[in-house]
Amino acid sequence: MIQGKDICKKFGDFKALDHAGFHVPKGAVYGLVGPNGAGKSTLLRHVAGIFRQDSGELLVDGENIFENPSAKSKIAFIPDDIFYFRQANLKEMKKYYEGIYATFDTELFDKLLECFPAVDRKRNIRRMSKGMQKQAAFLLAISCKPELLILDEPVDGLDPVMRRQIWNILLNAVSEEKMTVLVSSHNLRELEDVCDHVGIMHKGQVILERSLSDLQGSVTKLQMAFEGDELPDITGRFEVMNHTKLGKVHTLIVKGDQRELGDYLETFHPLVMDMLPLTLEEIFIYELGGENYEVKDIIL
Amino acid sequence: MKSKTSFFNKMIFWKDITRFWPLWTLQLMIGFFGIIAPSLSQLSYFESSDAGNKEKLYYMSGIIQGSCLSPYIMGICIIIAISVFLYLTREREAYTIHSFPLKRTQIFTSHYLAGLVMLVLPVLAVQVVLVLIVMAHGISGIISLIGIYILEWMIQIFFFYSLACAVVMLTGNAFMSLVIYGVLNFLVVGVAMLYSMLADLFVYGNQGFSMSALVDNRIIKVFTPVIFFLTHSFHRDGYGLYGVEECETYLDFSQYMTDIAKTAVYLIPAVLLVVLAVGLYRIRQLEAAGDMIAFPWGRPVFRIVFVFCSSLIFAAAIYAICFGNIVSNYAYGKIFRIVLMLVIIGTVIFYLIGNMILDKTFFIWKRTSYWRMALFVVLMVLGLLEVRNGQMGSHLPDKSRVQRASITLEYDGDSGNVYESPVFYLTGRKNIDQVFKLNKEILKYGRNMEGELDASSGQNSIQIRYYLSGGKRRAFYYPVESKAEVLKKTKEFLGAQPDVCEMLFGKEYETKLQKNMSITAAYVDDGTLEDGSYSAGLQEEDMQELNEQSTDGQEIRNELYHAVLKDIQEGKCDVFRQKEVNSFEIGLTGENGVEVNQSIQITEKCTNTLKVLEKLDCVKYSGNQWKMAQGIVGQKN
Repeated sequence: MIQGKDICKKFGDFKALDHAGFHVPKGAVYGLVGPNGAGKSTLLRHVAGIFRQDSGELLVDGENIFENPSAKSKIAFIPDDIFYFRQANLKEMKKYYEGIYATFDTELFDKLLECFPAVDRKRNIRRMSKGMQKQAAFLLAISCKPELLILDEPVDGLDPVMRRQIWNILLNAVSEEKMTVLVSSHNLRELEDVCDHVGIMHKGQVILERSLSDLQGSVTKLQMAFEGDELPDITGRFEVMNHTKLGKVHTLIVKGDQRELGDYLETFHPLVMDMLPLTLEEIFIYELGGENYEVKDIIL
Repeated sequence: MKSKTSFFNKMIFWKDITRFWPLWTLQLMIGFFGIIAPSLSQLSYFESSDAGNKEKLYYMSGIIQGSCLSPYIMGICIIIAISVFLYLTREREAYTIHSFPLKRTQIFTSHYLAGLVMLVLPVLAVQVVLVLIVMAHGISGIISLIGIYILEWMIQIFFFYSLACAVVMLTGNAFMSLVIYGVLNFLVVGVAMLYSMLADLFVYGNQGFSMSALVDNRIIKVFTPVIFFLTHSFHRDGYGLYGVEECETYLDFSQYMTDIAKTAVYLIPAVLLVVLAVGLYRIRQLEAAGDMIAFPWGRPVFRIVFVFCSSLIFAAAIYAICFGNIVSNYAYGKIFRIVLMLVIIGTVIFYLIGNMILDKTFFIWKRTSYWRMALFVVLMVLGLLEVRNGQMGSHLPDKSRVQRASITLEYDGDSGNVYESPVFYLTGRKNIDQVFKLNKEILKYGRNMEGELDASSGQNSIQIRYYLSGGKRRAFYYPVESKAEVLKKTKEFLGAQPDVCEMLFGKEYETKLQKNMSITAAYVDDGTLEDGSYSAGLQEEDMQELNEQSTDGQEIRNELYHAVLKDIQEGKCDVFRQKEVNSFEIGLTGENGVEVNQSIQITEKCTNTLKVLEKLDCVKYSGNQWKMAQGIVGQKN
């Protein structure tokens, strides 16, 4: 659905995107994660056709997106900071979106509105809470029936129930309408539940991009103990991303095929060996640790 | 409206119209209270006082043209342009709108048209009501004038609104849009004013600052549209009121049309500005929302204009406040040094302020390129030196184009009164070369003058005029100290001319006829005037005219003229200096009256002239003395 290659963007002297490349398959829920200032929002704005890249290629469904209304008509974008006209209520915003998007589905809008009972269509949206404004944005965006929905920090500011509801609606739309979702968020726990693909951004580059299952399968957390205190040397065969020791117990984060790793370690006859699945958050922390973005032990 | 090729989006258009309703409502209110209400009231008064149609037409023509006020149109256009494109100054709004499936040209056109409609519709509504009012009051003849002024409104709205939109595209900040728009509208006249004001301070030989001359300048007028529109569309009440025909007064619209048609020329730049605005919008980086200048290339342009204008305004203002009363107006050398210092300080200050504005922070010290700043200072200094040295602005004309030159001297009389010599005309290449050489010496002297000249205690000056091919003239006025070497040199140069009469009256002076002459008796009394004040200078009696209207014939005029010529040739008249004695001033003009009035002082030595004056009963010879009514010629009373 989205093909990005060597995308560069500079703001003055600052390189916001530095040869960023990524690929979002059709129908995927693609989570874009990265530290603050990594370039996630900038990349999303490029995909939404707001920014034009200085160089590189960005195709959505095989078409250039910038200044291309037909390609953009397949996209709906919900930014982190949503804009509504002053004094406008949901009814007026709906009318506005109807005038902009030919695909806007009024019936769907009315149906979805029932799922958001807190949103009053006659109330000035700007006077609504941030959460309600987000809900309104989802209502409008999904009613446009986009093929690609771009979400920048979508559930930020919403209560847990509403978050769950929004993700449900979203996943429903993905399965029913074959919608592709590109979402950036800092809430990795939540992304883990909904995303099937993940891209990790750092310093304007997509440093890692994989399906979530591949990603989780390629990094393993091991807890093991041996008779002696020393850990057998496995660095020649596997990449050890992190190693801590507590008493006799070694905890390792290792990159590589899980089965191969297990078979190899068994040859050293460990007293104890547990292979634990890694959360997205852990992968994120360990991956970026190698990019000089490790968690610092700060003592105040 | 949603097709790929569409250049317009109805929803954006309507959203603007409904969203910015206070703007067009305000215009309707202004139209009602400024035009409709006064018209209704005054026309009703005319009805009740049985006034004729002429009064009504006079009043209504004034109201109609007064309603089309260019400064108002200029102001409202930028307000509306900023409003409809305000989203470009706010990231959140800009990003949302540009994520919609619309082309930028489509977004621009929709907003642009919405703004245009908000400007045009209130005008049309008010003018339609005005048509109904004049019809109801029986002066339908003026409807054509309303039509003409609707056209004028449209021209001005289209021009100013297009300029405003182009300006809005240049910036990412609403306040900056206002500033740039104001600067662009008044840039040429502003810079010309600034130049004239500063040149008036320190450029020796400058002609002085004149606001009316600036405004009348064609180039300045054309590049200051508000002045151009005002001068061509705003006339006095009753302009074009043609007269009465079959007891009916009517307006001659052709007079309005001739004037207003000239403003239609601005439709061309208006179209170009719209194209420019669309072009800028298409290449605009949206991340520039909120930035003072939306394009990287605009930053140095802004900095140059800002620093240039601000530093000169700063120098002029500080000079006027702190030095204007201390330093003599004629100490050109000292004034220049002060202004130069102020401009350098101003350039540094405003260069830093310019960077603060562009970067939106006070802390620009580390980001400022001090090399660039120094280069700017050097350029400003060089520019000022060029201005002072007469290479820019008040430079001497091209010598090859000069066909004739003239010199007039002004100097203190015997009692400190100012005496202006006749005009000495010089022709021939050799003489013109000499005048140029002399002029350059005068300039060199004046640029470094530190004297404390003061007009109140008498002033010496040299005035040089160059008459160029094509009928143009360049005039230079050089105040000099009374003992200045250049003044002496100028007198020597003029005195060395072989024929003074030729200098005064041209080559054909001997065969010229005098159509107009004048005789003025001048006398010196004891210095005490009737009101008790004291004046020891020459007092002049009423002038006696000798022309075709007076009883004196051509014969006596020719006789007087030739007598004056003879006295000059015989060295009896000192044309370079006026003596403070009882005497006559003979005013002589050329045959066709084009020549400047050359006034020659006749003292007791000028016997040839005095004899002719005796025939005219102005003087009587007795006892070896020439007696005039006020005393004896050549003596003081």
